[in-house]
Amino acid sequence: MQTVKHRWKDRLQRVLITTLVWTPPIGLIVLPLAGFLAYSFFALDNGEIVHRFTFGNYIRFFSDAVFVPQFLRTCLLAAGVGVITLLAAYPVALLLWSLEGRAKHLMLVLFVIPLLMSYILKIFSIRAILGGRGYLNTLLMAAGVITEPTPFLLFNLTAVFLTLSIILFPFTLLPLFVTLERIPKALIQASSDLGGAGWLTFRRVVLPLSWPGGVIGASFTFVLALGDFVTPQMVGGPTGLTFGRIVYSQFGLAYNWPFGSALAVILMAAVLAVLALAARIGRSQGGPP
Amino acid sequence: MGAIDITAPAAANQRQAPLSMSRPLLVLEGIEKGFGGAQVLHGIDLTINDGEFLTVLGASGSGKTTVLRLIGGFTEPSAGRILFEGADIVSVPAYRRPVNTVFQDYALFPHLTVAGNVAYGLEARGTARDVLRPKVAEALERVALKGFDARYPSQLSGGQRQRVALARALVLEPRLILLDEPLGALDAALRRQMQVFLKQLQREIRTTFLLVTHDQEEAIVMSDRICVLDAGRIAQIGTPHELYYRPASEYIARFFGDNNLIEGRLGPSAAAVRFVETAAGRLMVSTKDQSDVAEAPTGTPVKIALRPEAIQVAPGSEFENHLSGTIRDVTFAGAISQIVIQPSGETARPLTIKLASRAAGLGLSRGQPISAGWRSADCRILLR
Ligand SMILES: Nc1ncnc2c1ncn2[C@@H]1O[C@H](COP(=O)(O)OP(=O)(O)O)[C@@H](O)[C@H]1O
Ligand SMILES: [Mg+2]
Repeated sequence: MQTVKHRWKDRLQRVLITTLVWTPPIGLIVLPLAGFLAYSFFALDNGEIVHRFTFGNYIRFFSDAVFVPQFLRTCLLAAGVGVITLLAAYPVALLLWSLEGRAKHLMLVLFVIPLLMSYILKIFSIRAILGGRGYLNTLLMAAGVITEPTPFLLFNLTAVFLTLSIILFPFTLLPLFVTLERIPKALIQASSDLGGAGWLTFRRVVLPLSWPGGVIGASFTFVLALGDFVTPQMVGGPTGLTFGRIVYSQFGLAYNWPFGSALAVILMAAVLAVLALAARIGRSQGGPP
Repeated sequence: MGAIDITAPAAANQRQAPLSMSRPLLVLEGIEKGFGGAQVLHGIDLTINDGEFLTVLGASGSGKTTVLRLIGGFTEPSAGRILFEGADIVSVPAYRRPVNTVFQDYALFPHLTVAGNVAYGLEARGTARDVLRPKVAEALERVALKGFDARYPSQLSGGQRQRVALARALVLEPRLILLDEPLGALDAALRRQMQVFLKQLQREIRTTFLLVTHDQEEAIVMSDRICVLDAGRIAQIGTPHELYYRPASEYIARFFGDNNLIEGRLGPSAAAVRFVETAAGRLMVSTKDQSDVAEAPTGTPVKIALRPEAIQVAPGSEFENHLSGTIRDVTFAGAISQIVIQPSGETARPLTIKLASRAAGLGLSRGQPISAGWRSADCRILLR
């Protein structure tokens, strides 16, 4: 009798715990996402949402002359940001890695501190650098490269690219640095013991063991750049249009939630695809599949 | 995969003549090494002869790895010279030194296969592919890892990884191979097997081995010579036989097993012997090739080192030293039995005796009176 009662209690407890563990992610993430997914199959009629199943939003996305090229252009922009930050992160991460003790931690904090700053603060700092009377223009004029402030630095797609690269740099740097830190120093010594000078050791040992970390970092940056709409809004001007801004405008300006949802779902699919790829690369690190 | 016979290369080299060990290959001269404030090595003078198997033996933290790192080129001495065939190599970077290391935790490249690991050094030298492949295959065969080419280190056992690390160094045919506790991570049975294998391999390829270990038994089994390191200082260098039977200090006598250490004061001397006054009576000790002991003043406090297996039960008159006492303990330990006796002097310390065990038993039991004795030539006076 007692054991039966006991088992019953056990099962109840397990159900309770499972419920507690799964409620927040389902309630806060899966349900809203499912909501967007559902909305993306609804239609808009005279500003009213019609709860009737339709592929219309997706058909509009793929048939319209604007959306697909704009989507691809933003993907390209985000990929460019990922690649540039990765190329810049390598020398910085290697420098940090080669430092010892206090100097290492101080430098790391210096490079990562932008993560702690408010997004708006960061963007205004960058506007101060790139703007008409910003440092960069002043510097270029002082050097005699230009005679009057160039407008090409701000309010276009180049400005969006530069700003995103600077702001998202720590997201690429950190995973790369952590991966480098995990390489045992003995492997570097072994390479050098076997006759590998600095460059060979980098090419044959450091690079193969660290690039999965770099790729994971770059894909974080890619994902963040792809969906961002604040930076393009602030420094992009009229020509710096990105997909993120279009999605935002569907919700904010056009009040077309179904179409906005469809665009968001497409964005989400791209993000998931990239993250899945990055995870695969991360797993392949060090040895057999 | 069946059991791997790592003793296979044995037969081939039994006939080879012993190597001449007179020519110095590597000389450490007055090496000092400190890290920040802490002095780790003090005035190390050590000569490694061409073709010998030299072991640096010391407790954990005594500076063994630091010695290897200095020779491998991973750290620089604070003072002193490192001569390779007469030329100072202190300023030569690791990747250009004619030595290779088998690292303590093997340090295999996890992203390369077994063959990739072994080929690494040859590729770094720019060896042509058609030369490289047979060399890698030969090195793998030598360490009984034929057919493991395509495996990754994560797919190997500890012993197999250890042999890959060995092959990775061997394939470069270095003049000197440094091995940092290479058998430390293996279980006891495999370790004994590998000790024999390493020794035979070293004879076969006629390469100088410098091995580091904290295991005195391992050092005795494998080495031509042993250098004992005590807190960054060389305590004694000699053949295993010398260290075992002629310890220069109490530290060495303790390190090499279970010497009985009998305290006493120097008494009168006679031809090639010295008497020592102890709590168990006056004992006679040979002073052969120990001029310092023969000349030391009477009354000097000393210790006598006496190996447990040199003591006889119920000795005949050919034994110069005798004592009587009672048996405190008898322990059967397989091939040998250990007997602890309490000598009859009031303050005398217990003595340990090791006897070959017999099927019928030794006929000794606790509390029984016993007489024991040993030759003056089988014990040794230690001044420090
Ligand atoms: N890089 C280092 N920095 C500071 N101290 C070190 C360093 N390497 C070794 N030591 C110190 O030197 C001593 C000897 O170390 P080591 O040569 O590794 O000893 P062993 O190999 O005999 O165990 C230890 O006390 C250790 O703490
Ligand atoms: Mg060590």
